[in-house]
Amino acid sequence: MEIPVFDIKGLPVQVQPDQHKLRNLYTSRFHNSSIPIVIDNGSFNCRAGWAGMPDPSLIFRNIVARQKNNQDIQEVLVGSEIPETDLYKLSIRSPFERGILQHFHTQEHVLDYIFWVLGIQDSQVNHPLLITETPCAPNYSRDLLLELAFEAYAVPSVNLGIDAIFSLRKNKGPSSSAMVISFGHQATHILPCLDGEFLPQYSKRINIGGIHCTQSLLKFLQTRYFYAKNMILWPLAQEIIYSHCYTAQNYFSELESLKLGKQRKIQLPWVMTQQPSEEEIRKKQQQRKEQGRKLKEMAMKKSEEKRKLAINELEELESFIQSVKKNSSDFQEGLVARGIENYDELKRKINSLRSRLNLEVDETEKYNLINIPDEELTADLVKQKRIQKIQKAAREAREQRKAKAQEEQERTDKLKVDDPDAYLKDLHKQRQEVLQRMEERKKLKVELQNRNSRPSQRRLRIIADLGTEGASDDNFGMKDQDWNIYREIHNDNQEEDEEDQNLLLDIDTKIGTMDTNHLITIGDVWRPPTAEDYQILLEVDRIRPPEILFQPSIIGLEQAGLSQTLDQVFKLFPPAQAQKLASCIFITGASAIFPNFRERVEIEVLGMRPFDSYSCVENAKDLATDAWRGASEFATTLEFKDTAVSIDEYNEYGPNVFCSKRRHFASNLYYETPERGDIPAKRSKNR
Amino acid sequence: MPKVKKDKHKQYGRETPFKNTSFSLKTCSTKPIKTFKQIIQAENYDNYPASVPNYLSIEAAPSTIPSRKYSDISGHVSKYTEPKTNLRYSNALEYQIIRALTQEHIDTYLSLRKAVNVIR
Repeated sequence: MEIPVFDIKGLPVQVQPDQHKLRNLYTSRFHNSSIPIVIDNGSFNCRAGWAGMPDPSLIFRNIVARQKNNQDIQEVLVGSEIPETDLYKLSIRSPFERGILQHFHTQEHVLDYIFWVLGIQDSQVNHPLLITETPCAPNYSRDLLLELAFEAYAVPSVNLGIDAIFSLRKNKGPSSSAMVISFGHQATHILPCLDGEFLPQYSKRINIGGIHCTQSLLKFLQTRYFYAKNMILWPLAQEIIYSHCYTAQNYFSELESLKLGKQRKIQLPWVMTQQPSEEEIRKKQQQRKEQGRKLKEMAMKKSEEKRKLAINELEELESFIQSVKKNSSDFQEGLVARGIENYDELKRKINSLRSRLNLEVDETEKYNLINIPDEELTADLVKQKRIQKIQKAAREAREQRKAKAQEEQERTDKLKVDDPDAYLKDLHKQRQEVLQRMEERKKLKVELQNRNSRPSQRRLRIIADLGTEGASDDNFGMKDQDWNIYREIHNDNQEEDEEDQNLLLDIDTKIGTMDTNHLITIGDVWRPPTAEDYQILLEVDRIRPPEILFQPSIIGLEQAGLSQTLDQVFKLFPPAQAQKLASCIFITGASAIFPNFRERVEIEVLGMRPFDSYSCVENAKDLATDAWRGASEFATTLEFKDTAVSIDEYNEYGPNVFCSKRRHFASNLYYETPERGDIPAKRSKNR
Repeated sequence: MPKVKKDKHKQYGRETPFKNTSFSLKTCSTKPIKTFKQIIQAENYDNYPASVPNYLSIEAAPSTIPSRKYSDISGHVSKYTEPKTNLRYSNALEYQIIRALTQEHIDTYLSLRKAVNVIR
């Protein structure tokens, strides 16, 4: 079946805020008013705008990058100011880490940016602030946020609230009961709300968010396609998440159906390498030929000169030997003049020259001692005789081998001409043998790594036998095969591997000349890369990223998944209240955009609720922005004013001021950080 | 070179007239920048009363049901584990792939599900 191939479209371009319009809006409507500024400070996107407006004025990635401009002045870029190409570099920082507001220098830049874009010109930010925060945010985050708002911008009052609850209020109105599932960028929260009241003590957090989905997908792809690692990067992973991933309603059956179809391929960018034209190839070949011819000529010249020299020398030496008597004083003088010690050396020199010139060699004296019995020779000559014997034997063996090789060559040559098929078959058989040998050696090597395996036991036994002296009859070394034992106990047989490697190469080229397809089938021939080489297959990757939330064990997390945790939360309530919550399960958070996510949650809830009970799962109308809209509505109410912390209160009570304030429906429970004091024993147990 | 007059209301290439120029997180704040661990430690969550929810207490509990096993290579349901590398696989083809992997590769595959053995 054909698998559909998709091109990379690229992520949607970030929208730049219309600063001019926003400034005009500020001067015409909000200047000198005390209309609150609402900031939905999410860990992925930050949304900011004026209270009472239907939509946030600016939405941007909550990230900050530092860079030096042309005049060498430090610049800080925020959100959409960062060019698309730099978006995924390391120097990019987010104020959030693990869903907690943590880096306040970064947060300061983000707030600077927001107020700047909104066009505030006064000497202080004379508008109340409403900022969202995560459920059960640490006091550290809140303290620093208050400090930042009051001391850097002299904001008249600040209020904090949980984004997901604002989203619920926007969609369901006040005094609603719902189980809120907020699928965020860095963490997922389950927040039960009964009759409009948020119950933090029953809330749960799962440390998995959209970022984990993208990250895991990226890592999986990079591991699988390691050779294209520098092409598989964050933007690609994000795009796959947006346009190819979906939530499986039943993960196991979906896995099976993915095998049968539903696979997709992504085409990575690639450049066709220009193939040289035929004429160019021919030109190059001709050039090479020309060069070769020149080199050959030069070599011929040189060898001819050498040959001439050798002939002259030989003639001179031969005439000398014939003209002068062997033992005369003239002869001795002649030898000294030529730098030769004695008659034997002279003879040897002549012989070597003759053999070099392919002339007949006088061999009468080469093995002259062999046939003379030892008794008639002096000790010195006996030694020489032995050497001659060995030399003769070696020479005969050499000749034999040569003859055999030639015979074999002739046989194959004849076969090649007579019966090419049989010849090919023969080569293939040889190739198979070599491959088998190599495979066996590989296996042996693996087995030898284990001390208890049979081959390594055998090896140890051989070593032990070799070590024991005077074993039975010691005629070791009489036969050549005896020495093979050292090969056997030798652990790494690199030499043999190399030998076989060369042999294989040889055979392959031989087959290649007969059968051109062979080299292609064994993949030894370079071919131009095609589009298919730059495709990545998405199979399980299409449903795995969102599945991590339901099965955190996929990325090695021990935490329970969404459905298990949801079940646990339901069980904390008496049945009547649980039923109330189950009848409105409310999904919000920008990461929940995966298709079928709501349906999947519905199925999971159906499985955990009692038989025949009613349950309903709903998505927020706008998963990403409803939180801001809810907050914006809240910021216009009286309740917002009542529960906000004013700058006077902050100056009097310090950051603990939330303790004395009334809570509103979306606020976090504030509890003053306890004194360190005595460190209880359970401490070590818990952490 | 003429001396550039430093505009205190222009920071990092942006005009910020609304900002208190004497404010700086570094000097004003008594609290130094903390890491995640330090924040959690400073919050003293252990001394919280049990009834008050906090960042650590709302963390979901570890899973009580055994986790499903999936092939490290393809992601399909896996029945087998390669004993030497601890990689999971679901069919013979994947086993062949595992056998051809280098140690570095095996470690990357294992690190995807945080199962790398540091001690050998």
